[in-house]
This record gives sequence, structure tokens and C-alpha cells, in this order.
Amino acid sequence: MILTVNIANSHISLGCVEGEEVLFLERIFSNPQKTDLEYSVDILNAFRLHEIDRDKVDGCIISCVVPQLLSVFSDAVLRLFSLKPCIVNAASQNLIRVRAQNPSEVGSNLIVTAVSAAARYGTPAIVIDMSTATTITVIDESRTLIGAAILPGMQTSMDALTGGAAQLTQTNIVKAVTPLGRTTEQSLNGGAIYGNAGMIDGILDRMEKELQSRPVIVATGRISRILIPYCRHEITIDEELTVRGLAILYGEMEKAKHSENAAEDPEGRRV
Amino acid sequence: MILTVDIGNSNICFAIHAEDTPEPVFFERIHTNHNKTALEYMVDIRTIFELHHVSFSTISDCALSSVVPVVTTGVEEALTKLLSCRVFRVTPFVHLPYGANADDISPVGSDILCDNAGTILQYGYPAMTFDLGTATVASSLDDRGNLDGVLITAGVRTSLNSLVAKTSALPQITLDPPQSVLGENTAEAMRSGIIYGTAGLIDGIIDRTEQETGLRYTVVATGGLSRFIAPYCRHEIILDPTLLMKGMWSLLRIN
Repeated sequence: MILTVNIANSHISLGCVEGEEVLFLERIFSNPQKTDLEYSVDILNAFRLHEIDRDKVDGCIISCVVPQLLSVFSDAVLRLFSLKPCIVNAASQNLIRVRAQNPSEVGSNLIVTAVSAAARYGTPAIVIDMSTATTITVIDESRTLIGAAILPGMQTSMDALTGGAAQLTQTNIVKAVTPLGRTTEQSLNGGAIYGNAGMIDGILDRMEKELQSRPVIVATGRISRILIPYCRHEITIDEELTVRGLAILYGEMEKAKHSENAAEDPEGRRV
Repeated sequence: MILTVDIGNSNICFAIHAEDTPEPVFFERIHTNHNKTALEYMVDIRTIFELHHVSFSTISDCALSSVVPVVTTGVEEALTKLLSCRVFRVTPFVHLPYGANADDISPVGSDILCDNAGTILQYGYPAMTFDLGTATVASSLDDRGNLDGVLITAGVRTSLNSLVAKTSALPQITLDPPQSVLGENTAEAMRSGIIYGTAGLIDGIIDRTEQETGLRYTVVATGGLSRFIAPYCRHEIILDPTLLMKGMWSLLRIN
């Protein structure tokens, strides 16, 4: 059984995976002030709530886009499970290639969802991950991540709008009846839903033109369920995309570690 | 001459027009500052007039539109002290050159009311107007020339600043043209996202509204950021940076 951790700007997602089965998927709030003790309590609580014995955990993998949280969270894992987590980056895997000016700059969350989409849905694929930022990543036929677009997430821009404009108030985005509304609430809902759906459609149109064959389009992230039904493109929603990707990467990294050990042992270089 | 003043959340715009031409003789903007007093705004306005060699005594009429209540009083007071003519405040209760399909248009911002007055004056109807400022606002005039609906979403800079503030690894970027939709570094990926994304937002809203109403709209875009985005839209879009001021100019004629 492994623990998968996705540290993002708004939330940290914890997944517990045994073989092919996701036993739980929970989120906690990303807080740079929390200590390793506090995070280990959070993790422990998730295991307790789901009545899962934490002693069964024999591996952990972390993808992190908030650098200041990585060491604290790794310490929390070490404290609870007495093991060092694997850390995802572009260079730590060879399931997909990454074409970027600076591969180390590519967010590990993009690597994880790309690996998962390629494994579960095939290539070419476009992955939409909707959280603080909405990222749209393209993986071509040869399993190469060839580029991405990053735009403000729906809630991020909504918060900025109601915070920045004197006469607009927070509204709860649920669904939109019409793009151009006749009350302020309708107008804000129309803007959030049809505006963001239009952004995604517009980018998908242009990305599809760059690919030779028709891609599979997969969306994940907590806002996808609300927004994706309003997009023109056919898009599969998969909320387990990241946790499954992390599990696949963990398997690969373990395999690589073992073959490395096997190769090194006969030489007697290992202590 | 006519003075029009538009108080927005990011900028306050000033335009001077001839009595008989909506196109401004000049158009200037200063940033909106909630803390400035009437005196400080008087100094700003005086500076603008001096720069353009215009005297206050030549102003025969003045219109003021504001969506920032806290700033309105200061600017209105400054204008009243400087000018010898009236300062006409645009509100949903003034006489508009179009009707409305909503039961109540009082929540519609005066900027949107002026934009549509500008659109009907310059481009007729049915028309759709996009104002890209702190908020991106779309509004439509139907085939009878009535204000039909309004859509509000976060502005380009507003949402971008929020994204940068709320994330650890994303930098502040300039709005240069993206090289490709497939960004190969972080800044390029963000440029692709915000510029192609906003272009897609405008295209998507036009498509869906046309689909819903069965009308074909003339599309006009205004606001500080419109020139960065409109060239990437699929639809033909008329850029008119002073649309709102032209609308105010036309409101003065009927009020």
C-alpha cells in the first residue's frame, strides 16, 4: 500500500492506493505555516477516518509545486511511516519525454497527469487540470509532452474579480442558464461558466491544430465537474487522474531503483 | 467643448470632445486612487488640461460615469470646483438611447450603459460590446436596439495577478504575443493561456449568444487590454478604445 501526495497551491491531496484500488482520496488545505508535526497529524487523521492501518504503507510518492512545503511534508511522512518519499520531477521518470526549454522548470503536476493520461487513455492526449491555475498540457503520439498553456483557475479569477471591483460581490458558481444574464448574479455566473468554458475551448481548438491525429481530452481537478459540461469539446472527466499517475510513477521509480541495485551489487560498489 | 470622465476600478479616463464630434480630441488616463482628496484630483485634472492647452472656461458640458462609489465624490467635487458648467452623472435612471429587456437595469454599471450608448451611436444594432478592464464585461443590444443581457468575468490583468499571487512557481509576465499555443517555458505557457484563453472566451461568448438569440452581432471591443486580445479572436472585432467616452458624449445630447 502506498501513500500518494500532490502538493498544490491551494490544497494537498492525499491518496491511499493498494494495487489498482484507490482506498481514499482526501484533501487538506495548503498552509506554509504548518509544521511537520501538524502535517503528520493531518495524514494520520485521514488514515483513522478511513479505518486503514497506516503500518501497511510501504511507500510514498510526492509531487510538489510549492517548494517551501516539500521538506516539511517529507519530514511528516518520514516521522509517520519511517520511509523517505520518492519525489517526482521531469528527470525522475522515463514514461514520457518532455520537450521544454528547461525540463526542470516543468511542474511535476503536469508530468504526473501526462503519465496517467498516456497510460489510461493513450496518445495523443490533452490534459486539463483545473485548480488554482488551469493547466492544459499536450502529449503527442510519441508520448512527448510538447507544450502547455497555463491560465488562471476559475475560482482564482472569480476571487480576484470580486476583490478588485467595488460593485461586485462574491457569488456561488453552480450553473449558468444563459451567457448574457439580466441580473448581477446571472451575469457573474454566465461570465464564470461560459467565459471559462470558452477559454478552454479556444485553447483546445488551437492545440488540436498542432497535432496530427485527434487527441483524447481528459479533465481533472475539483472544478472540472462544474465547468466541463459547458465546453464544446468532448472531454472525459477523471478525478483520479493524479492519484493514478502517482501510483504508476511510484511503480516505475521502484523498478528503476531495484534494477540499479541489481546492476551495482556485482561490482561491489554498494555498501 | 465637452469633457467626459470615466471612473473605473483601475483607471480614471478623461476625454475632450468638440460639441459636434463624438471622437475625442484627446484621451488621457490616471490610475484610480481611493485615498486621493478632491484637491488632489483637481491638481490631476488641471495638469491634464495644461498639457493639452485647454482652458476650463471653454468646457460647456461635462459627463461623469463611475463604478467606484468611494472615488466618485472626490472627482465630482473637483470637477464642480473647476468647471462653470453642470457635471452630469450617468446613472441607470438617466435617459438612454436604448431600451432594456431586464425588469431592472439599476445593477448595470454606468460604464456598461455608456459603452452601449457608444455602440448604438457608432455601430448600430444588433451589437455586442466587450469592455476589457478590471472586469471583462460583455453586453448585447438586440435587433430592436434594447439592452439584452450582460456577462461579467475577471479581467485579463486581474486574473493574471491573482494567479501569480496565489501560486509559488508562476512568475509575473508581460502580455507579449505568444509564440505558440504550446508554451515551452513557464512564461510562454502563461502567455498562451491568458491570450489565447481570453480570445477563446470572447469567441465562445459570441458563438453561444448568437446560437441562443439567432442574431448576428456587430462586435465592438474597448478597454485598455482589448488591443492585446482582439487580434487573436476568430470573429471580426472592431477595436474602439474611446467607445465609452463617445457614449457619454451622446448621453449629454439627450439629457
